[in-house]
Amino acid sequence: MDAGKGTSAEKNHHASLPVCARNGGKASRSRAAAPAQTWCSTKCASASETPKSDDAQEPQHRPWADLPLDILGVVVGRLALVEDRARLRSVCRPWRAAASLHRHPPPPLPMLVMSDFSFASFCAEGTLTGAHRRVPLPERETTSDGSVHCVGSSEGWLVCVERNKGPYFCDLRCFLMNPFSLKIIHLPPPSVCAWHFGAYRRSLPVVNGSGVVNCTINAAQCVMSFCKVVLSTSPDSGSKCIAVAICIVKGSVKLAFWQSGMMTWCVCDGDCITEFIDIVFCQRKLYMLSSSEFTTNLIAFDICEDNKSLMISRVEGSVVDLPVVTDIYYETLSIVVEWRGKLLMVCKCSGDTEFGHMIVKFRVFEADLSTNPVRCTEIKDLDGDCIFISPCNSKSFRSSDYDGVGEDLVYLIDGELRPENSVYNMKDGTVASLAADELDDKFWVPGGGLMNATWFYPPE
Amino acid sequence: MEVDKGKGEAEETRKVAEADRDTVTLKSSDGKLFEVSKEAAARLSTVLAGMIAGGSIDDNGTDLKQIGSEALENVVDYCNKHANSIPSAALISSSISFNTAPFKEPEEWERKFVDRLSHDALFDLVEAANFLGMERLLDVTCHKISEMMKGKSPDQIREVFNIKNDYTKEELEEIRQELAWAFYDD
Repeated sequence: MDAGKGTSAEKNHHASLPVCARNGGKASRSRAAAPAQTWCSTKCASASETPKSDDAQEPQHRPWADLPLDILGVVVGRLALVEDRARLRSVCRPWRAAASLHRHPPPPLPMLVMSDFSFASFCAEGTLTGAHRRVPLPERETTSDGSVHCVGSSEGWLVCVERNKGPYFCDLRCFLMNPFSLKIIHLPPPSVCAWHFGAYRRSLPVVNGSGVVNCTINAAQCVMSFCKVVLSTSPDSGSKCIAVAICIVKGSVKLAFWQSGMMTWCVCDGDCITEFIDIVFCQRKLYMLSSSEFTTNLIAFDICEDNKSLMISRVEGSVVDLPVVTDIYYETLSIVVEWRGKLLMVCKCSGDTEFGHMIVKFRVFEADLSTNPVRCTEIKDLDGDCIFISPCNSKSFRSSDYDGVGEDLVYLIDGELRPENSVYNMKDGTVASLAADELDDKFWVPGGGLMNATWFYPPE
Repeated sequence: MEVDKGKGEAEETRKVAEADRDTVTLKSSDGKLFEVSKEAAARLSTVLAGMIAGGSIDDNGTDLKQIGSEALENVVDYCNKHANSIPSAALISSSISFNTAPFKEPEEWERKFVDRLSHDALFDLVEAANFLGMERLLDVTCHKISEMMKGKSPDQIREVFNIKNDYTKEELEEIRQELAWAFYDD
């Protein structure tokens, strides 16, 4: 692309600037005193090559506040962190106006929000830094004892629950929050003592599988604690938003469904649910990956739009036909993620290394949902896209939408295996540690236990 | 092209000189003349490319009334340096691990090029780059400006750029939400 090479280009340059090249430094010195028509060339002005040592002292004359709109727009696009963009907008009125009018800057980089709302910034170099600040919560939604936690996110929204610190392990409130507009959407409380309406319960057989899934609304008593909540879409997208929570009810795992308009959660239990691995929305269905003693299963929940009935209309199970593993590594199929309308399964492969038992590589499979058993094909690239995985959500996106996010990479925040935060390059098969300075203690709840984190995508 | 003379360096030089005889002369707002290779100008500036293609280049100096001599000197300097630069190996390898599309990080010489500028000169250069449709130079200068803001508080940014805080009380309240992201420290 660039013309010229080393020495020949140098000659080329001199040839193109005969006046300057021959006059050497003289031209630049005479320039200052010269009248209107003077030949100038920067090649001669060697003095300008030396950096200005102390630019803080120099007087400022140019009207930076009046920087043209398109220029400021490019500058905004160069600020990858949402904090830096907030500060730029806060400098003066013209900058604020320009920043909001700008065409399409790349969105700010995703950030990692911990369950206590402290957040780490993902930097263009592929590192995580910070977690000194917290996502601002509206005052009326906070509690003095910090019992509000983050359990998921979708687009620009965070899913928040208030944990009961009393004798019962359950959540008192659940709400969706957009931390930019500070809009709040309250979901039905996860825990209620008694409903005045009658409980309604129905058992759905698992098509092509064994057992049933019991769906209940308005149960007489309900004490749920949410671990992870996924949303079908952003609540302000216009289409109906469905929330599904993996929850603990008196020590056992259940699924809770909600969609806008419903006054209560639809709670589902069944053998296949207790063995869950992960859940994800794909093609308007909720898919749950679960494992039984001998097989890995994919359970599809059909969701009906009618919010007066039970939300689930059909449950279908299929066995996942994973390619035979010949590696010596121990594989854990642990994540399902939607990618361009398709379902991907991500397998962590761990093995004993000189540094201990560690993640050695990842395998990514594309699931063919039209077959039963579900046929899985290992894929070695994402067509330039990348996947962000965290305990509370996983998402694939076009890396070209962001500055500084690599292609065909899987970013994993894990906690179970080292490296806890890793970057897997699908093309060359390497695993690197996702550098997270000063963050290590942020991944652990005081008193033990993993601090669940969620990738959050600030809107522009 | 038929090679009829000797090979090696002499040949290389001759070809280069021949190809680069074409230059354009640009005149700054204060009447100073600068010469720049036509090829580099056309490649780096959409506006100059348009003028060259449209034949509106004046041999006695094409008037660029919006650009002062210092900024134009920097523009010409940038074009020359760009023509001399070889894409660095670091840039190529970095695109494999952490691709930075659509923006490519400034190369070392580009960094040095903008680092030596005074704030005023940077302001003039970014405006000139914008005016001349020099996308890469605009990117590099805007990158420099963004570097001058990163991690700084609004007050510190105002100090760097000598900007007055012109917000009313109402507006300050409104931007408090935005500030919360930046200052909700533990």
